Amino acid sequence: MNKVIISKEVNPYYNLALEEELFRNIKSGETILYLWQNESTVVIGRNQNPYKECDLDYMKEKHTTLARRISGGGAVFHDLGNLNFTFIAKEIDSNLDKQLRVIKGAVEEYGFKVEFSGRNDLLLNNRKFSGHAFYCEDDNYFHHGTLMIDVDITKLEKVLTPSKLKLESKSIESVKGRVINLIDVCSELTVENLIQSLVSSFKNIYGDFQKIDIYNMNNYVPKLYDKYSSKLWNYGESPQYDVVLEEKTAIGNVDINLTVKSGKIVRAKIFSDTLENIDLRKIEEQLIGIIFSREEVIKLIEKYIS
Amino acid sequence: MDIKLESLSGKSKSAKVGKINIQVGDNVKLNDVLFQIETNKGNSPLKAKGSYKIEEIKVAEGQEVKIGDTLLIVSGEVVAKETRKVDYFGSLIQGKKENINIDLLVVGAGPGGYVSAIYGAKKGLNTILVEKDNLGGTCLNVGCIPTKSLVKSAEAYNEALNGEEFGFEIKDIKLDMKKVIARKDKIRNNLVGGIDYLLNKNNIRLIKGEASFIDNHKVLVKKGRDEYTIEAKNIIIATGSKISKISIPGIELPFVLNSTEALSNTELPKSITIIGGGVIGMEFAFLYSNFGVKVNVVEYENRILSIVDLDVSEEILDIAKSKGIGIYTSSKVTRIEKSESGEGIVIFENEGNEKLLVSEKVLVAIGREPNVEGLNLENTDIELNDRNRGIKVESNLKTNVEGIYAIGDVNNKIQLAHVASHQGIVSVDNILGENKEMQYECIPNVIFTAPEIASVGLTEKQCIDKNINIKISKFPFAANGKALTMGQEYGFIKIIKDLDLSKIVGGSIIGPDASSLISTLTIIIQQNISEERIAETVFAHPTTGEGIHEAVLGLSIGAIHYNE
Repeated sequence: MNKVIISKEVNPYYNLALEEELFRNIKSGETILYLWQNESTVVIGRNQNPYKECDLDYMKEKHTTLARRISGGGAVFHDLGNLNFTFIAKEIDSNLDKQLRVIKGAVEEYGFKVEFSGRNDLLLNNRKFSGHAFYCEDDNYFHHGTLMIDVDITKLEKVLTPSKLKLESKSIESVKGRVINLIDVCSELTVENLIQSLVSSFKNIYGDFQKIDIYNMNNYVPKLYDKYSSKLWNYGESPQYDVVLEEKTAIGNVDINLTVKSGKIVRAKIFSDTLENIDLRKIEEQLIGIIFSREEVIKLIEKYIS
Repeated sequence: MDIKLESLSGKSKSAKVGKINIQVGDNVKLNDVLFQIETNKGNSPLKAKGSYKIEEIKVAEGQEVKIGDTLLIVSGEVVAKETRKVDYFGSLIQGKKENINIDLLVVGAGPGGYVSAIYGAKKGLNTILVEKDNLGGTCLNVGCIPTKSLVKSAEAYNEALNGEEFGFEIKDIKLDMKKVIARKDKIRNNLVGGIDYLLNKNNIRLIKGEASFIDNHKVLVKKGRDEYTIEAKNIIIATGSKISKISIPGIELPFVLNSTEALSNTELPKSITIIGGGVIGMEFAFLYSNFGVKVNVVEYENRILSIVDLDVSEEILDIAKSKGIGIYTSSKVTRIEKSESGEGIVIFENEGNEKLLVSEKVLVAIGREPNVEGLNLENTDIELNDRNRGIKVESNLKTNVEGIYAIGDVNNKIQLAHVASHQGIVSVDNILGENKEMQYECIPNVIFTAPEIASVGLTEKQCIDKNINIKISKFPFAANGKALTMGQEYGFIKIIKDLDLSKIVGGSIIGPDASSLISTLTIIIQQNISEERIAETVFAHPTTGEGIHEAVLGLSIGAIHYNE
């Protein structure tokens, strides 16, 4: 029997953990429509590098969470003006055309004309309002995506502008496109309305479902919550990369060249124009093995030179 | 033991390696995650199918991989005994079967096929497009576009090396062939995505699968377990061409590449011998040479690029030689051998003598043939050309079977992407009852050597063979200010006039911007624009286009900025 599941939590780690758990337990012949929302969050693709995709300093300042999902593709910004959907099924039961018709049917109820782009996006007036990604493991499948209703676009643009780090990475790059909020075309539209339309569109196309299951922290805590909230998953799972930090310190300008693998520094080389007699090699040795973040590296260096 | 990439989700043929979750020396167990593999249809973990030790990882994060590529070298038990859980429903699930009736079926989504489908759909035909591989065909995936991407990288690299000429010097220029190939793949993927988008926008149904004829009007398309039987009022066959099997002894040696393999080779050889001095061979010769590879070309004919006029061919020969490319014409390759130290030896006969060339790699750049493989044409009445070289068509692109058309390389008329596209448009017009014919007199042809060569209309030789009374005007780029500023003061623009008809009938350009300038000559010839009208036209200064004005003046009073 098909199911509709709605999460009432707005914590991305909760929602992504629940999504993966639903995905791992999907039964043959069943399709789940899962709807969820995150509070101010950047969600990066499985094989992406947060340092390359978003402005982490700005995010910190604006209390924006970083989360890594297991599906492929590029970085997206979520806030409560955005609604996420996931179709979960056995791979053999999946049907992209049908899934897209559910979305299209719901959105077009409001008089929009939705178009498909060549790269897994839905467009309105040639601008993207919905980006999609996919994941397959063993015989299980999910297809999820965003639906931008009233997202803070100024913030979206700022958070998705990478920090000014010099970075050489083999990660998957995001494809930037012009975006549009549905509310710009239909001012009455709300997230609540769209949820109702999606549920009835799902019913039209997939037939009747059991009932709507509501999930929250009080009735269920997903088993994978710790994985999604861990720093090592969100930062450390990036493909190997090289990064150069150019810092002004008490002893002058220093260039720090690092190679980061599985989140940890595996190679460090420091150059400096200092005239003071400091053994940079010692600092380099100390950097090896620590989990990379700009603050940690600077802290360690300052400790040595002061 | 090698672990290869066996399958990808969806119908993807290539993917990018995401995070690598293992290290050399790890002992992995059944179902441990090895890599993340990301296609345009999403991410999937690749899991171990047995317990083994990782000896070597053959791919890097971010690298493009294809089905069949070796990923790992491992030791130990490679395939575990069948422990897969029983899928009770799997055996019950039949592929779906669908019967479709349609106005237009297009087989093959290269520049012939996809243009036909879009044009047909725009003209109101209900259209299905079938493709077994990537959208875009040879042109986009392993032909025109990828070579041009490499040509540009090679040119940029070479200009950086010779920066001194332009007043700068770059120390430690490092060429990374992996990045060059990645750039090419990115451009290709971008364009393939673009076609997909256009098909969607025009409501064309794309079926990814292999098409074969059941009878004159029915085609079966197989896609995994799914089967589509398509009955179409009209069918356009646009299955393109493929690389011919060449029977030179030694061609199977590991260092011998064809053009498709060369386009994805991420290791630049120190030296290469190219068999074939035609368009493909010479484009590769110049791009490898610009990358700093020692190049030798062996050509069977008595000159390279025998499709262009003799003076153009001689000009490019001089430029090739000045760049250090070795050219051996009137030379028949008899066999390829491997030296004791692993190098390739190309053995050829030249003026009765046996000669040898030794190089790290050998590129075979000869032979493409129409591709009708798998179409089961024997189930139809469709006639082929003599010696089975492609499908026989009339000038209206119709085969002998009512309602079936063949366009592009598969009809073996002219192997050019833009000819295929135009033939597609003519076919659709004929389907709609417009009685069009394809005209071949004014098809431009561009060769991306360095410098570029382009020609349109009649060649000098064709005019002489037809006894046409002609006058030729040539304007050298050495007399063009813009060409000098570009540092490309070689080559010329050549215009041929039919004196009896008092009309410009042909032109060739070798030199900077030739690929762009040829459009102007094409319009002049196709639209029969008179010398006087061109002379009255103002061409912007300083541009290479001024050369066309000058060459036209050369037919009468003589060029302003050049005296012969």
